[in-house]
Amino acid sequence: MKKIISLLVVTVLLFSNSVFAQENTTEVTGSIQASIIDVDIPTFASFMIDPNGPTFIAPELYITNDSTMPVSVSLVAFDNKVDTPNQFIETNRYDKDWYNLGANESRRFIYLGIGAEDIYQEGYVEGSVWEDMVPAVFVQQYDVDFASIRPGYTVTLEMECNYGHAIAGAFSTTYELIFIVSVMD
Amino acid sequence: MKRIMSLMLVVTMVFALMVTSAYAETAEVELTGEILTTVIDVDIPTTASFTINPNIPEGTEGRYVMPILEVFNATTAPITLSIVGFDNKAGSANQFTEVAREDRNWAELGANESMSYIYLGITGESDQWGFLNHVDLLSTPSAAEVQLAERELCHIKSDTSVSLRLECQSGSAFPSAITSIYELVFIASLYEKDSGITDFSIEGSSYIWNPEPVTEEIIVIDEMTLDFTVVAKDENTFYQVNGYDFTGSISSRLDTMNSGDQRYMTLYYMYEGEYITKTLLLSQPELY
Repeated sequence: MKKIISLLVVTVLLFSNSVFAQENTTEVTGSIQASIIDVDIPTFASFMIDPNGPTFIAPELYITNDSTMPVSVSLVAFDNKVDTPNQFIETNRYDKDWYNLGANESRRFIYLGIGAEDIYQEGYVEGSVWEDMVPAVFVQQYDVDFASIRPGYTVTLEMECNYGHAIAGAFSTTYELIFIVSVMD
Repeated sequence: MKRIMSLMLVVTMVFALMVTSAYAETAEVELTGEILTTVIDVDIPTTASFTINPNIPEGTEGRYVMPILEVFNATTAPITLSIVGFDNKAGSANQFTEVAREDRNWAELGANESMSYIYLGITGESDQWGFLNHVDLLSTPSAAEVQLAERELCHIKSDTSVSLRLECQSGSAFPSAITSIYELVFIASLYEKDSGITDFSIEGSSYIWNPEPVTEEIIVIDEMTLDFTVVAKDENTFYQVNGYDFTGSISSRLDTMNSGDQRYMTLYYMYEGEYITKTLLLSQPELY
């Protein structure tokens, strides 16, 4: 009987050895590079106000998304540059009776707005574009998520302005607009 | 398996870093604006005539046939029309002495006085559409008054006109017909809200004067003492700075006032026909 038990143990041990798994490991390493935001926005632009026309000649700003993915554009600053000669107070469009402003007020107040020239431009990701003109005074209080732009497309922004017409002497003023471009979320 | 899990964790972390690095870019646009000068364009008749018929009784139609001067403001901005000259043209045949209407008993003037004295004035209808923000002419001066000082007549809206009318009173004893030529000199300037103070500046501050009666916050280098300059409309313009009386244009230095931690100064001056007090809250530039 003792012999039989010993034999059984041996058999069990043999069985155990024969079902033990072989280990095969494959290591896969992924290397994915970061998307690079590549957007062209003009760094300089100019506008002209001729109060005698009256005429406002403003630039069209072209924003080209050369990235390979859609990007979102925010406008976070739109104000007179510090130390520029004439510091306007930017207002909303209908805050002033522009035609009847005197010389002092004409030099003091201005409405400037920026917006999409055409909200149906192909470059905009559908439903992403800010549909109204964005007043400078609004940007001074809130960041504006302006639009998302498809890769490989250009969109056009335009400006509008209201101003007093009593300008006693010609002058220049400089504005600074700051856009933030980020990968569309 | 544990080793694979470790690898995955590392990859995930690297992804997160990559996304952050590419997440946003800032682009600045420098926008320069050129603002041109307004060209004042006002049409005023260059000639006009008036007739006095001393044979028609005073107060009867036809005694004085006076011209109406139509002044059209073709400027794109409102203008202020003033009269600075109203006198016999030099070398004109008969040189009158212009007086106030009530200065003479016109009905009793003899020939000599009739040839010597005349009342001429300028007036206009009320409620004219072209008036910017007033009902009547700002003044209806006589020629004699204009000869003493410039007088503002009206503020005219852009692209509208107003009518001015000359008025006259004279003696009735003219031995012979005469012709006399008058010269009226008008000045049109860009309209400015009526304020006795035309400019107020503070040394070391970029503050631009705003005559409106609103409290403003301005940055100054020294909020305890201010060197300031006031440009007044004329030498008789009265105003107060921090309660101190001044007249005319001045440059001065004053200590500022305080309410709690807030330094401020006040200006008291005539604005649109009423005395108002304006407060300027002072603060120093932030230091970073």
